[in-house]
Amino acid sequence: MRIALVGNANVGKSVIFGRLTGRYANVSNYPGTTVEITSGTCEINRTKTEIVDTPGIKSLLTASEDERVARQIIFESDIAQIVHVADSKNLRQTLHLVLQLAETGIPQVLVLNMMDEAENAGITIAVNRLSLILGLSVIPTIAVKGEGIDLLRKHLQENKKPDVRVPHPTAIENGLESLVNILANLSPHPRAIASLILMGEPVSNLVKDISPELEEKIKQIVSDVAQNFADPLSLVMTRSYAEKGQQIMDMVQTKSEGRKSVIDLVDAATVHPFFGLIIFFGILALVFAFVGYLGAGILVDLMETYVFGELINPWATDIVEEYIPFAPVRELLVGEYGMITVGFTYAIAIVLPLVTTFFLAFAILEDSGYLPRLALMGNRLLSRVGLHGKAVLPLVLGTGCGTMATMSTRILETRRERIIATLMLALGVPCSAQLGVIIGLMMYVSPLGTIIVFGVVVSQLLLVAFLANMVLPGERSDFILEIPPLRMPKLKNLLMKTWIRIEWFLGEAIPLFLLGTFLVSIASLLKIGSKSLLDYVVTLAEPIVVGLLGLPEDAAIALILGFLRRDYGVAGLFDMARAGELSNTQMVVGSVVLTLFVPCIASFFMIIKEYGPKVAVGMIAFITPFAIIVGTILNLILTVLGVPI
Amino acid sequence: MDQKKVRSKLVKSVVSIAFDEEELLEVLWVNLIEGNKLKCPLESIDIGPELEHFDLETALDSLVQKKVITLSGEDKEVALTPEGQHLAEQAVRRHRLSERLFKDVLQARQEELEGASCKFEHILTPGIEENVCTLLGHPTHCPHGRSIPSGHCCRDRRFQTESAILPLSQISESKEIEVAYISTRQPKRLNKLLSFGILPGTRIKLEKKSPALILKLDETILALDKLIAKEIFCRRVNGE
Repeated sequence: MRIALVGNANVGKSVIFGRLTGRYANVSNYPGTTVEITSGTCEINRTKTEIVDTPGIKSLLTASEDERVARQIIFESDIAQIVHVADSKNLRQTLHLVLQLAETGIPQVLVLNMMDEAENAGITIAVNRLSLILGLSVIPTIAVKGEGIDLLRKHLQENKKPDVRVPHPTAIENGLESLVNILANLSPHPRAIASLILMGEPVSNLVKDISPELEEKIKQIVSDVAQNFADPLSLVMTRSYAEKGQQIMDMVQTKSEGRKSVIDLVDAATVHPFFGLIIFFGILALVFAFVGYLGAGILVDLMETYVFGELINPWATDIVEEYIPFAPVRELLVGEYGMITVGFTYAIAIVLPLVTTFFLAFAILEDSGYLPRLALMGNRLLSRVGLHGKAVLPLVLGTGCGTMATMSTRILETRRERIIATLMLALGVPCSAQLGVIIGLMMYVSPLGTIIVFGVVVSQLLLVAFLANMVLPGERSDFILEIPPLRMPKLKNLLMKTWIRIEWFLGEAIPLFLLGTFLVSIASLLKIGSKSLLDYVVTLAEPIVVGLLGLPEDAAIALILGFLRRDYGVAGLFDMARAGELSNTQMVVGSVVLTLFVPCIASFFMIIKEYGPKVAVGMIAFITPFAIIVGTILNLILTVLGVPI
Repeated sequence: MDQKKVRSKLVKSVVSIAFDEEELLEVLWVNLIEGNKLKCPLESIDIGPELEHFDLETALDSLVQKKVITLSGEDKEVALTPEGQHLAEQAVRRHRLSERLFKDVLQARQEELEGASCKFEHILTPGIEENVCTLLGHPTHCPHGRSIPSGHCCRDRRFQTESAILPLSQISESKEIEVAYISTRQPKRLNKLLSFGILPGTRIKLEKKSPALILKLDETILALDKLIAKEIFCRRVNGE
């Protein structure tokens, strides 16, 4: 038997999960990030019981995929109890879900979390009275501080079923009765299912293996009931729940003037048309300073130059050369494109410090509740390209790591929006490492050059998204977003979250790094005549690189390596610039092309994983020529006009 | 030329259309125009319960004589003349506006709705009809979800009377309102609004209108696209 943690997003479900099971899930302030299901065990009366954390839902009437998953878990037969976690500040919404869950007949315990915030807002809830009215145990908690958790533990696995029933208009009650009669043998929760069917949920979503005759009969009942009302049944019934909820609220909740704090003022400024932008750029600057100086500067230097450059790699090279007699294998491990000296070194020495600092910065943004505000600010711009504000999150994430950002496009509601956002990421959102190197490269050119690079990239990004928006079928989804209050992040939660993501990164990225290096290494080892396969590829690319883009022929290697790692390519360019092998125009063109050029191999695999090989190959087939065309045109304009860069 | 004069001329020319005949015209308009047909056999017209009691033949003859409909061919195919179409459209408009008025402003119950609006629509003269339409915030759909033919006032957006019901998108910042009805016909959008607790009777404070609409429901802050706000009709709360 399992216990399901159920509740709205942003109510601290994951924190309670962590407190109960000792394992921490991905806690987030952004509505809807708990996409994957986490489960853990908790000891109750000396037996281990499984607890499953479900995606956030506001009601059983669901809109998105993850909400449906949550509902499915609730309806699974081995769920012995629902631990309903709720925001005490929002009793109205809480009661709505309590009343809906009551219809399932599953034992429930109600956790009123964030009691401190309710108190600050001037809200007092008569917990005991609420418990009596609902017939449930009601546990007030402040989960981030661990308050109330021990009390909750005592009420796990108790068998109290809610003792409230929402009265609906007669016609609906009759309809419910007929449906319950039909469903009684098909589901353990007939009344809850009957309500959802009347509210317009397709029968096939709720009951498996139903005969077409029965389905027809059910549809007939629904349309008969609907005849009695001018409004859709979903509205009529939601009204009944809301009225009952209001009735209960009047009995248990009192509200007085809340306390205004400094944070409210900051809150207002974050979405202000002018100050909001200033705050946004300020935060951006802070993040880059943190990731750029601490991550890219100090930590990468330490890891690459000292830890790997002077300790690990020489040591590994010695061992390999001493114990492995075959030259090709030695080359594969510690050669020019060796899996240890390049693949592993890259992953641990360069990228790990960068993503660690970035994950930490990002966790602060998430836990503070800033991201939904950023989504709100970006809504207008993104609506022009068929996305809405929520897409800000993956795009911002993309400046950290495109691979992780591609995965996070899941939070968008339609496939079309997910594909547009993924295309933007694959095309031209530079990851933190690449961005860092490009910023370094820009030190050699004038400010005008820098403006041209970023101007071209951003404009092309918006242009492509705009075109994709026109080409791809389907509507854009509605922008309704809950904005959680700004909160002071807790250090312990930040570190936990960062650690979980690093674990994820290491597990997902290192195999890909090794695989990528392996392939390049093999290509450099395969000799055809006097040249290697890699040499042939480079020769093949030369007409484009030299002829069209006006770059020196060595830059071809940078372009190809760019596929292995986005920053790998620009790093090659950076090296050439330092050696004085590049003109300023070449630096600008090279930076633009490498930014727009194919995503790294890890992102590519992630696109395959999320959207299938067809979409992934299609994107590459578009992006590669597109980047070259933009580079060619830019090169022509800059050369012909003789723009002083 | 003054549009009002044209309209009053049209009204005067057929001033003798009886209430029953008007009901019949509405039925024909719904069958033909909303059914996307130019004409159709009399038999296939769905008359509905309200007209069962009266003498169809006489009423049809009278309408033919007044040149608002034509009957032709063996199966008596009925069609509306341009003038008949205009009159019928106006009658349908008055009927559906009446329904909105009774439901949203006077908050009539479901069972009172049909009877009351049936009587009221005949009292509405063109001038009053425009005022009612403005009062209701130029609604586009009746409570049953059928579209309300637009009038001149909707196109000009003249606010002679202060509206009692307005779409959320037209409410000014930091006003408190109560949702009167939601006009969306997209079930997904409606469900989403419902799940956020936005339904008739909900009290909302409109905090800001930029960069998107920012609403406060109890302690919850929601951001909403203007596009959706156009489909949420609200009434003011006392003192606002």
